[in-house]
Amino acid sequence: MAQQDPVTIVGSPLDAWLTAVMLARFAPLAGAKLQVLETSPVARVDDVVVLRPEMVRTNVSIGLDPKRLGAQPVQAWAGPHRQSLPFNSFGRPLKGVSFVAIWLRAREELGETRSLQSFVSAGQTGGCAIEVGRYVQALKTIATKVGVTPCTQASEHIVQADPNLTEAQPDCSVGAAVMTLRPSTTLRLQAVHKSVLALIDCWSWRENDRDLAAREYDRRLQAMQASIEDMQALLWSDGRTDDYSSRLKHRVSVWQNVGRIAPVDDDQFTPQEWMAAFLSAELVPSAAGRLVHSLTLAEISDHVETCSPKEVANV
Amino acid sequence: MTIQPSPLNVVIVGGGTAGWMAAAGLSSLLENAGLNITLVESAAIGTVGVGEATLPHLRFFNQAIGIDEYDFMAATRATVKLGIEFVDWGKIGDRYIHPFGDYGIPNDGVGFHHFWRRFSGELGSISQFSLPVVAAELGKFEPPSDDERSALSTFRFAYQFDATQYAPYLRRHAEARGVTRLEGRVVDVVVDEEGDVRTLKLEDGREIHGDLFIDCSGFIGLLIEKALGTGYEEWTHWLPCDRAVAAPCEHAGELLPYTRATAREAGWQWRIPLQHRTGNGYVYSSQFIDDQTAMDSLVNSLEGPLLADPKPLRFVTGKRRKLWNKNCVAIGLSGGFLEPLESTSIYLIQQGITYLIEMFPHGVSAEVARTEYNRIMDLEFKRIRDFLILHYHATERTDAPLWDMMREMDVPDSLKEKMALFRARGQVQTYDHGLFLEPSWLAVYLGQRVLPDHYDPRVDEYPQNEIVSRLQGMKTHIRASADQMMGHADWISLHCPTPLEGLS
Ligand SMILES: Cc1cc2nc3c(=O)[nH]c(=O)nc-3n(C[C@H](O)[C@H](O)[C@H](O)COP(=O)(O)OP(=O)(O)OC[C@H]3O[C@@H](n4cnc5c(N)ncnc54)[C@H](O)[C@@H]3O)c2cc1C
Repeated sequence: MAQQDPVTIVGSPLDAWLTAVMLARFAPLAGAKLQVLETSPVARVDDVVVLRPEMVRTNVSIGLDPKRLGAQPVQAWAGPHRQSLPFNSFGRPLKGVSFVAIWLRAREELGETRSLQSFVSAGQTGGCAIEVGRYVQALKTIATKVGVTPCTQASEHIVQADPNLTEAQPDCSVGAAVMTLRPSTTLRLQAVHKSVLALIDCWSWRENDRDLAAREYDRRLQAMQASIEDMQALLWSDGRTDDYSSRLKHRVSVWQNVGRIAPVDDDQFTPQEWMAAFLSAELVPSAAGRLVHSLTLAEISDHVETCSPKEVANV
Repeated sequence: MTIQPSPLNVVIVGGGTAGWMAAAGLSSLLENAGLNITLVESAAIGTVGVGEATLPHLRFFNQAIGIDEYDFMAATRATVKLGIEFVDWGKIGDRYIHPFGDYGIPNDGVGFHHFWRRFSGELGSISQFSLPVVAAELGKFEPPSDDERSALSTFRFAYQFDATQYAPYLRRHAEARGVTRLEGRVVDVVVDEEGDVRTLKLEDGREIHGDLFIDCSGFIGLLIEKALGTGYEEWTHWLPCDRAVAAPCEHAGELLPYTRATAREAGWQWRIPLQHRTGNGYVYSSQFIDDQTAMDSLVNSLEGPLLADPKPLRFVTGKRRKLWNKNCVAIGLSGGFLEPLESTSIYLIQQGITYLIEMFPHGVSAEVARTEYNRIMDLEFKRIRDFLILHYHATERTDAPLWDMMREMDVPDSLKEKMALFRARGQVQTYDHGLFLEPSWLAVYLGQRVLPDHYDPRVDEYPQNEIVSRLQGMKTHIRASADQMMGHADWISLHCPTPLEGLS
């Protein structure tokens, strides 16, 4: 996309202004002007959206500190059935044994009744909840400072952030325009954030790197998409497994049989988010594995107590 | 109510580095977990006797199983390794160090190497922005710091040790934790109707029954291949070296904290400095040189008098189709082999053991664990494979048929795309799981003349003079940090010298 014509970012206010500001701040635009064409909002101004910790860091580096906008720190984001997906980990490992295995053994042998979720470490996560209206306003203010304007002229170069636009031929798509997203502003923003970061990395500098850069961008989007689709299938499935991809099925069976989150590249979620999503779908590992038996029951009991949060996490 | 997992008889076949690492790992980390571990090895068959350069990960393995670092280093006559020096790879006369550490620091998400690419004329070699490289070149060492603000936190280190000493050292550790060692030669393997290994028969008539078998029998793959016929995925079309000859010699000169890999006519030669001697070997392709010429060529190039007869070795690069098949897990050379150019074999042993421990079956059935284990290990092998191919393929050498072949070779698509992306944009395609992160790829690309056509244009948005003077400052700081370190040989003799009686 090495050109001097303006680049138009088309999308809902939230998606488009976030995309525009991130591109303006980090992409090698070679002097190209950015303009935003707003489509219908997807969130009401008084809705509250959760920004994941890594998104907060990006926001801070574009000059937007959510704390100053009254954002509240949060420990987790919520799925459609009020599943709580924490940003901090569950407890702490002990002598190389994961806390999940310790908790499972405590359940089996010590009658532990507390849920795994109740062991989410207290402490700051870096994630926060912010009102959509204030957030968009702040993005617009920064946009003005970095030279992004509302759309004033026709342009051939389009970054599409709105999935409902079909008439335009975009140069590339980001966020919700890349994949079908369930109604969750948190997931939607995450998709925008991650795809725009990939776009920045793969922004074409010259005519002759365009195809390569586009292929790399697609590769990264596919990985992102696979991860988010799996999480959506899990959170929205209501217990049905028909929508599970083969990768998700494998991860479920590894979790149930081995108590482990099978690692995949470009995963968009942390192991504790997967664990929480599995547990809320009532997928519990069948056994704690052998490694946990290297600990004595006394060690397990003590450790579980030391990991028990002193204050209830606010979700 | 205490639920003890059902007792499980684990039988390890082989007492080389893989066998004793497995025995020490399982007996230390799965203590009290209901395992009865037996290891059978045959002194008559012996071990491969090579494998002296390692990766930093080994430190964590040793730590996890409770080994004291200095005691281990003294016992195995170990020295420190800060990276590998590659000589004559891109072109004859080239040299670079692939360090265990970073180059410079990124700025606003723009990789350091883009700044270097833009200002390389003013800044000189990128290697001067890597503390482990500068320290290695000066023959200096000091352990890394945990303080993220310190330049000393930007690197890691590994060991170079005597391959014949690590297994016996681990044996003491494992036996103290209840591992039973049997001396004997396995002559028959009984497989039941389900296809699982049940019993090993020894030459003297003894039988060993087990539930889970760990095949550490070396290249032969006694259980995984001979008994279970798992199959082998061969990669010799990409990595054609299939033989090696190893020969230790006396030291000459300074005790260097790095391994050297020198590209030769038909392969490459390693040099691994230990406390008491230097390990050497020529890894070559039998398509391009005969065994005698290879041996002569090695012996004639040694820096000091030969300390033992040269040892010839043969191998086939690749891996078993499944590293865990039925109730048998292949760890070490029995599972596969990638030539030792980046010292990855012991790392793969360590990963095999770690994943096995993490997924260790509770009962005897382990279908899911097996599938997952094979998936992850496959990834580990393939990522290393591509990285090794890069070393051969990224060459401008035209002096020998091997190098012509490697330069022109059709590499795996995964690598093709990576190289094209770097050439065009200086972008390193990274991954989250598996060995070799961005600095490693950078080291080899840049060290072997795969230079990006262009740097990231965002570099031009910074004030040039300011950037250059900041980077010069960084370089000076790195050099000063290295200067302040202790000499490597002094550090060894202060902390972990091998007692004189051990220096036979
Ligand atoms: C040329 C070369 C250089 C290398 N350099 C490096 C390096 O620098 N860094 C690195 O990480 N790795 C290196 N490696 C790999 C490294 O040597 C091995 O990964 C490591 O030594 C482990 O070997 P092993 O234990 O699997 O096999 P071995 O050492 O071969 O052990 C096999 C064991 O099985 C036993 N056995 C076999 N058959 C029977 C039987 N029938 N009955 C009873 N026992 C039996 C043997 O007695 C022996 O104890 C190198 C390998 C080669 C070939």
